[in-house]
Amino acid sequence: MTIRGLGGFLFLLGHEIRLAFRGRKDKQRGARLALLAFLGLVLFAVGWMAASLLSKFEPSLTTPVLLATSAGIAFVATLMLGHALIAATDAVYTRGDLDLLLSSPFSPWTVMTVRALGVAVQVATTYVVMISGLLVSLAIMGAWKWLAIGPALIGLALLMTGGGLLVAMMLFATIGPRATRVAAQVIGAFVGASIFLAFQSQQLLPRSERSDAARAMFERISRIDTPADSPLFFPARAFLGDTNALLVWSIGSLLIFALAAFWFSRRFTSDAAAILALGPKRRAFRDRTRPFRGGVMASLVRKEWRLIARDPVLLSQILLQLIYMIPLIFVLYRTSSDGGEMHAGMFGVMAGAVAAISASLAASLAWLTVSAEDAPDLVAAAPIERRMLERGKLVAAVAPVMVLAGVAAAGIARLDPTAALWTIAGATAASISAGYVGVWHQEPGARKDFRRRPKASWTAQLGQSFVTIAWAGATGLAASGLAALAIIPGVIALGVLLALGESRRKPA
Amino acid sequence: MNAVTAVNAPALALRGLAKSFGDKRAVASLDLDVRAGELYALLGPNGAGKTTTLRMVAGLLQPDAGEIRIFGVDARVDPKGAKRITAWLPDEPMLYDKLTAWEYLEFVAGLWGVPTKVAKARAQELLELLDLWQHKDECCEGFSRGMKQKAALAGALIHEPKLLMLDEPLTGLDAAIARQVKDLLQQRVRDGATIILTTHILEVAERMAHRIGIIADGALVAEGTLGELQTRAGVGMSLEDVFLQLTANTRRAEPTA
Repeated sequence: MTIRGLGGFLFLLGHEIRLAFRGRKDKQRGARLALLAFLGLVLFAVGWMAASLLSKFEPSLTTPVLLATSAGIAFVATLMLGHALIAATDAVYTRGDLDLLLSSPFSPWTVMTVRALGVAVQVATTYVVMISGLLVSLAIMGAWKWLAIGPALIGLALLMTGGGLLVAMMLFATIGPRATRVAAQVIGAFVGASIFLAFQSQQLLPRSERSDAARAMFERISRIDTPADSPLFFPARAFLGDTNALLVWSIGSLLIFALAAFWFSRRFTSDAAAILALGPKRRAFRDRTRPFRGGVMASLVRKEWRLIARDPVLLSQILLQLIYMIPLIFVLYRTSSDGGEMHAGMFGVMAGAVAAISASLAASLAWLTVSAEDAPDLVAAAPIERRMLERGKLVAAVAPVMVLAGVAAAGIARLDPTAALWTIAGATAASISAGYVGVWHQEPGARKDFRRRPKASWTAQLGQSFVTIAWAGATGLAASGLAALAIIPGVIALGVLLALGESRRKPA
Repeated sequence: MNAVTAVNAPALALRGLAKSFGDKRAVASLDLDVRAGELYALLGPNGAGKTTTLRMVAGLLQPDAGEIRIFGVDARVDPKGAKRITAWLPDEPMLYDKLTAWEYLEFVAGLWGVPTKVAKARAQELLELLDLWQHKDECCEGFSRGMKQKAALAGALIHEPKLLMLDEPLTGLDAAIARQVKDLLQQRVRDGATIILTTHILEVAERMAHRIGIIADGALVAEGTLGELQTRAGVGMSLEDVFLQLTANTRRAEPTA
């Protein structure tokens, strides 16, 4: 097969796409297929419901509709931009195959162009899959005009991938290769969550002003008299099936992406060499030689914390999971400033959210301490009971989470001590449960694959999701004053945990 | 606290040790004795079962059948007791990128329950001996392959194991570091430790080992001193000739690409 021309280009692109979507464990193929089938059904069901609504109307190109569509596009665009930025830096930093590819007879420009295209395919596929149920349903119902959403969404993905590549290049040029990776992740996560955070920011206003602010915003929006043919509404018109707009939008997006990919490829052809030459940083801690401290459990915990604390990329990935806790802080801050009155249901939402976020963090940390153990043979060869080893790793994973949950509970305690108690109890149960599922169904992985960890063990991923939802529900109900009802999700959580414990992996 | 070990027991006694991975038989009813205080070289072609055998001895794999006794301690009955007196060093150094050499040794000493004062003194001694003292506060990720191997070796020795098992300990090391490692191993043997090493570098086995075992298809096909093996194979045969002769069948059976 030729490595020149289109054939070689497509060969490399196929390689990129295969790597981007490949699962890690073939032996779990059955479970994965079952899960995919289930997700497919869910997507189709949701898509069918949405299509049933949409198919009753022809897409209308009036200002209010265009305005609402534009808002939706802006929301998706921020998610895509965040996704693209992270995927772009991952493509350069994480995969570790640049040495091989750049030493092959492919031109460096081709390698980097294909990599950029791989990012676009990854971003576009993610979102197209999400709306696939809707598109299929619309096609079945014969609502052809609405099908423009598909190509328009691909155009948006190309545009945002182009944006992601440009931001990555700017970061590289301004802060250098080492800092770019962490910065890109942080920026990507915040951009992705920006619309959500913007909507929640009104929680910062005093309650009395909040409804006024919302009313004022709606009034401002209703007063917008931008004509429907304004260029501002161009993307919305494309999404709503205006043929000319769709054509220009698609071609324009493709051109902008091609331009960004061209710049990215040219620039990163030389920058990639700089990244490859980086190697591990020779990092010394002078004057830090301390007396030895012993204790098996303490040694394990200390080791895990040091490894996490010294890895800024990892640390940023972990802490970014807390982004969605920011609105809770808004609510707590404002309620506390307003004089401390909050609806019981709101305590339930907050307590449930704290439990869910704690479980998610604990699951992440447990993956790092258990599955991503760098020297599994070393710890396995040590004269320690397996249970003690697991307990040590679990403590290392759960303890920092409990500190954060404690801070959240302290905030809630200022308003309602009972709800705070339920919060800390729920967060503890959820974190320990999620951690144990990670211990029981561990799959060896590498720390650099932290973001791809859900693909490592579907059982762990599904189990942790079930247990988290159940504990979050129980915590929320209890904190809302419905402790008796909370028993139901609590028992479900324990049952799932028990089943997962019984099906735990036995050592080789 | 050291496990109670039998005074006159062999350092390692394997009886009928077997392990399969699915249909593939890795170790087939292996009997092996390693005497206390000797350096034993385990040779064999790729896939012969050397590493699997040592991983079972180290307690990393459960045998399908057979018995493992380390200085008289039944490793299947008392795995903790057996692990306490052994150390395992695989071909890829088991290190943590973000820990310094000092912190790594602190961690390993903690795992083996070495008292902190003793551990600190040993860590300093080992790092100085292996020329790593000036790098003790550097993260291992910046180390060269040789430095990593030396740091891992220091970790394996920090609890002063009675039985040290090394899988290809000299692979990828430059001549100077290889010499340092060999000297250290020989010193440990002189001090009374027992060492089992696997290697593809036959010269290492020739020069260092008291006895050599050749394993093929998961079974021991020959064992003895270098002289005994040469005598058995014929006059004028080198260890390489002996090895190639004894493992010819296995290599013929290996699939070709």
